[in-house]
Amino acid sequence: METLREQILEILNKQNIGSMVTVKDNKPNARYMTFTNDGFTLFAVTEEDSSKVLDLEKNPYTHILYGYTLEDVDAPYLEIEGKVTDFKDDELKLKVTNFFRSLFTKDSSDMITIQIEPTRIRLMNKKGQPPQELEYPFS
Amino acid sequence: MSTTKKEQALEILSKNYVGVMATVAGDRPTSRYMTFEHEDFTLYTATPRDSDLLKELQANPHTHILYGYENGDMGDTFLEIEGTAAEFNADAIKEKIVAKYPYHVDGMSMTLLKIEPVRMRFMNKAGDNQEDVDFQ
Repeated sequence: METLREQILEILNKQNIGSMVTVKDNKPNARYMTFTNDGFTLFAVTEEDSSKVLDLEKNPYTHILYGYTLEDVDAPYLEIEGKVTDFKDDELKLKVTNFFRSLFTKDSSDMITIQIEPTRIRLMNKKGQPPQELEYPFS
Repeated sequence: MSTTKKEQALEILSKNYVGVMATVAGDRPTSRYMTFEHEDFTLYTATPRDSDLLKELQANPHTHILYGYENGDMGDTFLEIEGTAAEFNADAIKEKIVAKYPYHVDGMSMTLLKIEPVRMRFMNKAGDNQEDVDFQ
């Protein structure tokens, strides 16, 4: 039987779209983002001057609903609380940049990648079961 | 043109009923999937009286909703709605919501939330084609 950790990683690896919320001027701000992951760490690209980056410099906390389709409303999804952290690893950066380059046709030179470290992950909607929380630290 | 935009926005509101509802809890963002009813551009949803959502909105009524979008279809147009939410008591609308989603209200004391939009925009893939909807 799959562990909770494996079930969560499976969703992170298989799906790549989530809604990401940040706080700006004490108001919530949500948008859909395309993500890639390295284990439990998430990466997303954004345009450098976009509101996302401005929000995150002031308040690094984010909340993400990850992996859900309207075709199957009972499908499991993840609720992730996280914090945006520095993005320093050059080798990883190259891997992540190449992933996003394959997704976006526009020039990627003006895009920056943000790294999100989850602090809380819950598996939701698993056949009517209550949310299951993965114990921190995850790895 | 603006009439068409309004009609398109109303079509999205009528076709879909699930949205991502974001709020602020303390200084942290939080969100959940919610089901909505609408009357023109006013949205309604239900939540338990003891829910975190209700407490969050009483402290900070601002909400941001992504409405009408399916994972896996990045081309879909959806609505981004900024608004304020407050408790609202209108039995007729409440009955309608309770009848539609009985499993949400089994054994729970629910209250109705009314969300008044402040700004509404059409969005699609990666935030391109942002267009304001003049819904007033």
